[in-house]
Amino acid sequence: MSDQNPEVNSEFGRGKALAQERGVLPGIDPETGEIGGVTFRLLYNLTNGDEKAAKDLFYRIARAGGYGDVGINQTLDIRGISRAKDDLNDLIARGLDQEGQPLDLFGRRLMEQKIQFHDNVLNEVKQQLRDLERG
Amino acid sequence: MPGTSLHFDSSLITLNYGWGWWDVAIPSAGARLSLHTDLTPESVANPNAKHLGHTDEGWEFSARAEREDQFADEQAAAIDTSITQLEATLTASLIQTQDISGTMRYLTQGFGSYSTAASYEQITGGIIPVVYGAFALIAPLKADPTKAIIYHLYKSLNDSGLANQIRRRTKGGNPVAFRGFAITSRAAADQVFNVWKQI
Repeated sequence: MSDQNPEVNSEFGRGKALAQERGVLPGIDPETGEIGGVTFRLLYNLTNGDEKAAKDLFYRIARAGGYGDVGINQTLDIRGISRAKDDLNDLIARGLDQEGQPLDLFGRRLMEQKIQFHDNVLNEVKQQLRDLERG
Repeated sequence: MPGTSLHFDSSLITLNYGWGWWDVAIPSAGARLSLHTDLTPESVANPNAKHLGHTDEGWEFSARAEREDQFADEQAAAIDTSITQLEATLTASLIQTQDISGTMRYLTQGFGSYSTAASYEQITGGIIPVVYGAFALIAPLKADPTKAIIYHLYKSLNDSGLANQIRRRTKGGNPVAFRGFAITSRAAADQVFNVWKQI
């Protein structure tokens, strides 16, 4: 099938092939071991088949990360959380708000609040994943 | 007094293809889809993403708020309006219709079950629970093909089901219409979709 797979020559395809080669579960970075995408299936494997614990953890991560009332079969992008915070920090460093306008006091306070929010989101999601690693 | 410049910029005209991916991940609050540098979904964050292959004439993204205008007897024109529904869709005619495992199986939410063994791939029909997925159209920019514009429905299903055309003289296609649904408990302004461009 691989020669008919349209993704086989892409970085996406190579990433998936590397994960398979190293025997890591989908959602785990094959090079660093970090969890980059959370699915119920991944959590089911990591909790050794504890369906209730996997579901509870999935919904806790969804709430902590602001993903919303997500269906159990969908994937939560964990990688993107830190990028959202970095984008805002970069804007502040350049003295701009999210509309590309120069920052005034009002805009700066708003940006700081957003950065704090993203910080909290990142920490809460990381906390849930740390609890998982600790078992 | 200097005048105001006209905003003609041919580098901003859409004249390129897009790649449609089913079952990409959902971004957290305020975030966006994670991509590799070749503009495919980042494979760790999007482990279940599936490219749906060729289309007949590309994709169309549509997002529209249906409204109900409010009138007062004393006024001839509407005095206010309320939004009754937000519709967001990504439509195309997929042409890799002989790819059951790679394309067709992702068009049958609520009625199609896929299975395979050594000698076959099949979809059986019958009512099953609806399984939503996120859908993303990633289109390289005309001005810079190393960057993309992304249309991302957070929770969607294919409204058109299976509608395979089987014919000899021209390509057989399957029209699809991925319709966006709201994910409740997300920020009110960010429940259905985002459209964003890398800069």
